Amino acid sequence: MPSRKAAPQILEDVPFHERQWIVQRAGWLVALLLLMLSMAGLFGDGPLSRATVGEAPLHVAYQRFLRRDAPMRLDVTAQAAQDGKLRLAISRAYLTTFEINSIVPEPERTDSGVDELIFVFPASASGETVTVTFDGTARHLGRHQGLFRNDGLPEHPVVRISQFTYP
Amino acid sequence: MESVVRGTLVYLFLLIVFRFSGTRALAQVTTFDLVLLLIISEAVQQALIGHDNSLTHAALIVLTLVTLNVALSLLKQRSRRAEKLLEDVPLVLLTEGKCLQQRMDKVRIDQDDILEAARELHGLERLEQIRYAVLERDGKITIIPHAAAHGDT
Repeated sequence: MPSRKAAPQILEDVPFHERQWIVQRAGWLVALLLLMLSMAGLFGDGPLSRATVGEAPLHVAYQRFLRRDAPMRLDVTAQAAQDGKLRLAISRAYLTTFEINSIVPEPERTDSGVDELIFVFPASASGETVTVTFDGTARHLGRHQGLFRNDGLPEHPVVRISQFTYP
Repeated sequence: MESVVRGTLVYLFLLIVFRFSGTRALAQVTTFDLVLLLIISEAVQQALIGHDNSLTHAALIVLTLVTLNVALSLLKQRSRRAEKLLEDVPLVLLTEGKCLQQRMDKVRIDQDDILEAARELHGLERLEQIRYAVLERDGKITIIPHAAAHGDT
């Protein structure tokens, strides 16, 4: 038999719930969208993030979007000079944005230039194309730009890249 | 500074995600909910700590999280609106044995969940024995039985 007691003291707010349900569902859509963008590479690995700039005798394959403290990789493909050496100059400001864990092949030496470091790599023949892989860890947040120059060639071809690092 | 920023960002992110997922989503209703919570805590731990394993860093993060929690509880105490936004409000799901189906659908609760709570809390067997079923702010369902049904048990 139904009770005749007074309704319990419940601080209900149905209009608030109705608004909340709409906002929650919008939030689910946003989450889904973020996950899809993440799969596409907006937050790191993925087709949206992979990029290549330049063409022979200097091009750089890199990730547009990085995450701080996460691994990153740069593949620089460049043509060696007539003396069988590849001199790859990279802007010093860019080199401070990540920590280099390894460079393959290892440079013979590193020279200091004006606002840049010049990595010198051996090549087996003059004019040979060498791919240098930099493995590192992204450190600086936000947008930063890198400048790469093939210092050994007379025309000094230059390539610029732009990356964004998420927290 | 970084400890405080990390702690604050993680706190706010979790607050938003849990509010959007709904009160019921991770209310430890099933064993899997508990496992999911453990996985989430494990995933967030790395972001909180980063590469700094120092005692100072850990202490600052704990201090940040606790301070934010106290600050928000003070805010909730002073503002009913903030309380509703941050903690949700209870929702009646069943009155006098009748399910409020539209509300139950919106909060993803079915009759079985209500009957389970009724059995667990009061040993009730049927919906008609329930006077009110309420979805509380912590995602749990509470049951107010009819006086007669309660007397029978």
